[in-house]
Amino acid sequence: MDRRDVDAAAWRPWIEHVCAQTAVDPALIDLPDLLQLTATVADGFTRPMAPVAAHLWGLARASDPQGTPSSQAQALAAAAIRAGA
Amino acid sequence: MTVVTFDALVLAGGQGSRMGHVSKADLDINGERLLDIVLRATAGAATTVVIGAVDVPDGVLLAREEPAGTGPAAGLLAGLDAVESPAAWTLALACDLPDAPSAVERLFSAVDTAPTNADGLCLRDAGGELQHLAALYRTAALRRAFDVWGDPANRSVRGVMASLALLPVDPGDASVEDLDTPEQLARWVASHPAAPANRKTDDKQVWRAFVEDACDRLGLDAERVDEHAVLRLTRRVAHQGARPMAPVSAYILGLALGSNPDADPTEMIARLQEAIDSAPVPPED
Repeated sequence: MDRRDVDAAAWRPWIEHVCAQTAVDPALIDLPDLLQLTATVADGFTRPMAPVAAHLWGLARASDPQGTPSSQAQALAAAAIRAGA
Repeated sequence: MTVVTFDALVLAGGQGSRMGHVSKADLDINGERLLDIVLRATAGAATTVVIGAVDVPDGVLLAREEPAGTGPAAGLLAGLDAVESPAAWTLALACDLPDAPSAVERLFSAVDTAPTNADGLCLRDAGGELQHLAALYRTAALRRAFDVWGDPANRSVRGVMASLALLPVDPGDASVEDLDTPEQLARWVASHPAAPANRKTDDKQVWRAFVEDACDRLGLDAERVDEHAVLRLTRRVAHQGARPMAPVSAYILGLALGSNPDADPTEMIARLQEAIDSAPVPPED
């Protein structure tokens, strides 16, 4: 299965539930963008670091709400590519 | 540290006359297609365009110079025109650079040292010559070079770029040697045997270096990041039949910890795991 082909609608209740229990705003979760980042990290560097990149993106977004999410994802992708080169 | 947003143009047009007219992009290097090796060097690009008549992976655009067969400068312009929302920088690569991933890393490492009035950065080959198809251009400057030049059909890339102020970059250990002949190909493959699968990238120290580099770029404290705890969490998610949500759970943990800097990570993980344990998993179809 292509990781980019996750059925976002089917998983939405899961996401809503977990967010509600952890006081996280579910609107911050854009599944296609997140899966794009993890695919880049898995392909460009190594699969185990894909969820770690996702974790770091979440940390960065919440730590710096004024930051640009796409730039943060870009920085993570760049770090992965460098690590995988 | 500057965050470089860039598009990538990979020139895969033309045939290698000295390779016996095979498509250079499709040459096999230790089981990997040469074009795919070069595309690895473009990962992270906002838009990636391959110029030529080759198969490309999903998400990579294809373009062709007009008219076909009018050379790399025309190809570069066609690639530039194919990018819908141009990024600040444009990475231009030939498709016959087997060491492209390492070479491109050198370019990005040098971006911070480039003077603001530089139009781009260009790798130097072993003979000291600038390799204009192993280069990172400011997109506006690249566009301007084509505007100044006029019709690029059958002209050299070097000629079109002559008006630009480019910072030469020493490739260091990386190679910008291109593969023009079967002998060069054989020599490259012989001197670069396939690495045992992921030996390097599965190394925990390599993981840690990635986390530290990423945190540097994001202004985060790497000391507060426990990648192994994240992996334990995602393994558990996967084992519960929610594998597609593994990265999502890692992301949620990041959001939760980032917005509660004083929270105890162990407690937060326990709370998240509890939430995951009780979350509705959609039926498999």
